Amino acid sequence: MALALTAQVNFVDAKNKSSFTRVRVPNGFTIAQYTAFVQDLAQAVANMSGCRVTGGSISLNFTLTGLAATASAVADVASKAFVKVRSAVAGFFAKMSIPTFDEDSLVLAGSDEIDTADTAVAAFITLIETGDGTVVPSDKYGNDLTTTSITREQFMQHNG
Amino acid sequence: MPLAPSIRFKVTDNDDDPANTEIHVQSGDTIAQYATFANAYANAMDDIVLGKIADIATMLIPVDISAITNNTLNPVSDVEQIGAFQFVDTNGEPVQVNIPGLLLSTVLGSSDELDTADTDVAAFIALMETGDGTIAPCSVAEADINGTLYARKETRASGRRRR
Repeated sequence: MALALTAQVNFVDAKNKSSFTRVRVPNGFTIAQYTAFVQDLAQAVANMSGCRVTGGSISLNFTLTGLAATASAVADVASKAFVKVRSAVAGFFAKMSIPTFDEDSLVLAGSDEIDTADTAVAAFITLIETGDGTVVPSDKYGNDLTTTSITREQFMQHNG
Repeated sequence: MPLAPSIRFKVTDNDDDPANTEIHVQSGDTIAQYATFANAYANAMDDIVLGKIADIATMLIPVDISAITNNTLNPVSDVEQIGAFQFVDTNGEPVQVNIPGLLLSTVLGSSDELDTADTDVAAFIALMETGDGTIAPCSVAEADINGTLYARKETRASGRRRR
């Protein structure tokens, strides 16, 4: 059974403390329709609150298929691939950190550089840079991504 | 301008320790197209990681609310002063919604009950019970909301709010 989507409205009060309101909405509508609902919800709650409404969002879940069923015995979330991609607007970029990166197989010997000639790595980078033919990855401001500037392994402590 | 939508993936390692990774995408595509991309991205990532990518990815779509009115900050507003609404769905299950920073003008005198005859309170309840003409709110199990059990003022420490 699909779970309902979440419409969220964010608030900040006079002491700069933040909070939110969440309302569940059913699947089956368009993004434009969900957007209109969140805007209506934001107006309704703004009329009843002394806080300032700072934003709204809709969140939804996708069911993924074709993935590995289990983690490898040597998988470690602290082993990450760090990927930095320039955007079409100078000075803007996207950063991604990929947990449990396969550093033994995909890092160039004697370095921390990821082997971008590897078929799987190259396919992943191409997907980031150009998308799947329809959806286009971007920086967080929506600017198109162009070229990958950094790909290297990192070891970062996780929060767990 | 709202931020670009993002899709978040959860990866767990051999110790079941979790970590997240996300990618932003341009707006303007359909939910089905984003779902297709999410699956392609997860599978491409699956080929270069050793962990288990969770079967569910979460997409967050920011919404531009800059056109709303009456959005001024009251100098004594407090997110811990909430309007607590409990609705009921068609299965009889409760659905709770809290509104932070409740204006005390919506509260009936000498009580903690919200004035459901107040224009703004009534409008919010109507939105929850019947929707905006297109989308009607529901429970997490997608059962339609069809009634209100109570609406009252509560004070609740932020960060410990029930869902």
